[in-house]
Amino acid sequence: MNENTNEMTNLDRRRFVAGGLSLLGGASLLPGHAFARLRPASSGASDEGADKTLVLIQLSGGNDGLSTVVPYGDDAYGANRRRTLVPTAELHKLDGYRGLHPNLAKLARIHDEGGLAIVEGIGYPGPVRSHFKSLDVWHAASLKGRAAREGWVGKVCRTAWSEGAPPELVVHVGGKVPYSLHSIEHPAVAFEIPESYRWLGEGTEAETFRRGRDAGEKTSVLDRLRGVLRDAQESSTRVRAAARAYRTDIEYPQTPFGRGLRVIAGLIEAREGTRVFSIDLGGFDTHNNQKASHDGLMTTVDDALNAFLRDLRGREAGDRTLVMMFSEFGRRVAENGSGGTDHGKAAPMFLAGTPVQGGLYGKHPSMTDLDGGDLAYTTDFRSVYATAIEDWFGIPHREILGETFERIPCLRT
Amino acid sequence: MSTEGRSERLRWARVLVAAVAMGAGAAPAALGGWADDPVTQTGAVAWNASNAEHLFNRAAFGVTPEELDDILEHTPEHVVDELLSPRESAGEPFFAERGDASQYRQMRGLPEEERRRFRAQLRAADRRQMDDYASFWVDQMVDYEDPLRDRITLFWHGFFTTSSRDVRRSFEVIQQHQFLRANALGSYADLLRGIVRDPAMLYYLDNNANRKGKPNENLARELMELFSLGEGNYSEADVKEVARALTGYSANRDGEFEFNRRQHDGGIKRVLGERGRFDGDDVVEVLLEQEACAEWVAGRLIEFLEGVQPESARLREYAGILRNEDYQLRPFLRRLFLDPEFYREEVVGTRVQSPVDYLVGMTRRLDVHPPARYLLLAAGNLGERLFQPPNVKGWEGGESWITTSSLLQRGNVAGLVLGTIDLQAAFEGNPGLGERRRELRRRLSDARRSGAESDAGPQGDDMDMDMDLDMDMEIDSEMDMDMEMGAEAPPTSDSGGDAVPRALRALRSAVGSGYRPRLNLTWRVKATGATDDGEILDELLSSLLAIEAPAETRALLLDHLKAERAGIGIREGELLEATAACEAILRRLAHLILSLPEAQLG
Repeated sequence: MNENTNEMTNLDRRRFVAGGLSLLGGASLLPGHAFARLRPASSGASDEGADKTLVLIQLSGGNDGLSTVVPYGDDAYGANRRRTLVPTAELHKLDGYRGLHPNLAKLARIHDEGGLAIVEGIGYPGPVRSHFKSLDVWHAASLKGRAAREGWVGKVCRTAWSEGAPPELVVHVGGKVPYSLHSIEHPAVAFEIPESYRWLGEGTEAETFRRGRDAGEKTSVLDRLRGVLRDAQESSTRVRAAARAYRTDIEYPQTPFGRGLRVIAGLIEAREGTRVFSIDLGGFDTHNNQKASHDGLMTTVDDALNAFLRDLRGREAGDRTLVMMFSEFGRRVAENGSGGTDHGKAAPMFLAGTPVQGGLYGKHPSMTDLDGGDLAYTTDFRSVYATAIEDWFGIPHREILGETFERIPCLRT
Repeated sequence: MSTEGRSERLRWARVLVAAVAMGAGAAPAALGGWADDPVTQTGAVAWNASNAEHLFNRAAFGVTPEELDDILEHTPEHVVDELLSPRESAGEPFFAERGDASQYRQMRGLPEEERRRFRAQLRAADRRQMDDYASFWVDQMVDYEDPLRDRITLFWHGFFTTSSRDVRRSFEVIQQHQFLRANALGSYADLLRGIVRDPAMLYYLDNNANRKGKPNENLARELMELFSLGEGNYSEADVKEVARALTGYSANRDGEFEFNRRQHDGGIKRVLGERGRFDGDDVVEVLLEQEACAEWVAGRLIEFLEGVQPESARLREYAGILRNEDYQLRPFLRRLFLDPEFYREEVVGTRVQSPVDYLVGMTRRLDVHPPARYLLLAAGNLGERLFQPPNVKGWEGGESWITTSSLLQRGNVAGLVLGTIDLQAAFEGNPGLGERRRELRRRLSDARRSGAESDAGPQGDDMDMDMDLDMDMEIDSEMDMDMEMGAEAPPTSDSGGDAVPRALRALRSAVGSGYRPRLNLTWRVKATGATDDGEILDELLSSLLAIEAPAETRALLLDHLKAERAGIGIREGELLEATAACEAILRRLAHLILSLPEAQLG
């Protein structure tokens, strides 16, 4: 562990210099494969997938699946929805039964072009309607929630990528790091915008500050904080350099979500060794007057995700990037009394990007045979995780999930 | 350090000394009977500097070395009783104004453009009042009149959460907070009874829309999951029944609770095995009867104060105390603060301070006076935006406060307070982004126009008004997000080519162009009699850190200080005489100390 630390530190120093040079007009960063070369080949995962990346998008609050992939062909839809009803005429129809929300026009095109897979009826046994408990289940990939002791991405890191990984192995763009990324060994690098991701002390203070992070084993809180400080100092320079250097013709929307995805695209391009990116979009807890706010959220998702996918498409960076979008639960089939919907159960999940074999997967839940007023799930979300873990990263999914799940054949081979 | 020349921050410590001097053995009269209660008798707490500082880290917002000297002259029982004793006056309360419904009526005849402007003004005034109140509360924390009350209010603030961003009615949110603060050290049962009738809460969890035959379960679920029992201690059927009982609990236009009989479902409900024609008040009594209730509240409180979850036997013991004392907080807290377990190794010095802890503690330790607005904004940037919890569960706390980014930002926030950071120089050459608010408004109003047709209900004007407020709010919240994300300021206040990211720029402007840190570290350190490098460093470490500095940290910083001193050609023992150069060195050293992981613990 200590040897690794020193190695990282030296490498970081070199990078620090390289970043400084590029500021003064030098052409570029160090070659992106620096970490791939350092990483031992023994780590369980095959090296073939060593630069594959997963981008996790969380729609926080419980996205109304029925207003996202709308089952317009089902009479029960119109019978249950009035103030939240999405008019049939405006839908981007996928077939005679379902259509995408009108504000998902760009994603509908990507779907038609084969770059978007929709997995319907996602949920898990014994669903909980609490945001927090349900998110814990999703984040731990375990029905026991946090009793499972670590996030599922944290477990993947520990199991398959533990040695020689850079601090940026897992990156969260946002303030609060989701539990899925929790890991004692590889806490995620997190920042909201790259420009201010730095410590502003100068001169000799900066040098002493860099030495204030020497940690022993991460058994005490202080040692863990020192580990975070080390990760922060090492990644701060590189993250800012990657964001600054990134050039693209695609115009991303000026929303925090759009800007966040742009930063992710830049980091993928820079090949800093990140395997998992995470970003949240909130506001989906639509108990009240859902229509207007949900319509707006669909636009936000559509504009930003479209920009991201088009930006990466056709490029090498796109070939190694898989997007997974989820929410902690769907909402009730019936509306509540205030033009909104209460917490429900099953909802669709989305996979997108060049590696995806677009189309419909899973099975749309019955609109009439309900589970306590909710859609009953037809596919366990861990089937989708298993797909990403095994078919994308090449790691046996049972090692991570503890059980065997049927994978979704939605990735190109 | 000398106490001379310090501001009236020390008043609290003087009050303490005076009260404690009233007599050994007898509790101050104001405490009533609870202080003698047998449940508060425990084994002895080892009363030393480390434990006394620990008590103040957790029960207040830290201590200065000279306060610590005072405190150690008294027994832990006296100190705890003084923390718990009701204050005669906590200063003049904040007066909250309420926007008047007639203002909205006046707007009806006006052209759309003017109405929009008028609404935006009302909304801006409302936000200003909210900010003023939040600043007022931060000032109270810093003033240390009643630090335990503010510490526990901070707990309730994250327990009975309400977001001003969602409620958008500063008057109601302020009323709620004043209720929580007034009862913070009283009875949890009274807090729960009050919160189901609290207008801000009824707005926040949509209970105005919870009507007979058209239930909205939001409040019902959170009432049990977060405010009383914890998940797993009620069924989905209970949620539905409690929602029925809460129908008709609403807030009126004057910001008062109103029981709307016509919308109340007066039928029989079954809640947690009880049966009756319950309303919301009845449900609260049923909840308070549950064993799970005291366990939930005790567990959350202990975790908040100790930083780790109690093991189950201890939790049951403390839940028992809470129940036996009718949910009174004072006996519970007294027992906890005098429990040797509260001072065990696992607990002392191992908790990550929240941003508010860090900032209030730093302000007091340095004895500087940045505007409260600055502390408020800074806490928000670091992940603790008062009155805007991330969600209904409040702030997660603990190690989740620290991310790679927030750890670096804590140091930056300290540097701005100390005046050791030059933002302009740091961000030369960083391009701004431009055009934000206009773009958002354009996009939202397009989206709203298409949504409006299907949504126009019988409310007509009111609906329209709400939608417009909604839109302002959404823009506000996106702009706030921008602020968190460090993006650029809106065009109106954009100062041309300023390259400093917005979050930091907002901090700089909140500190104010007139702000200079009024501190003289050289003088303070000198006044303690310190001369050589080790003494100087120890003085700074003991006043700036809430924990004892580990030996390796001290060695690292000592090397640094020696190098700095030698760098300006001054011999050991003479640094404090080189006033100007020394002050710069000490401030930068203070910045460094406050940026280290050690400064985040307490």
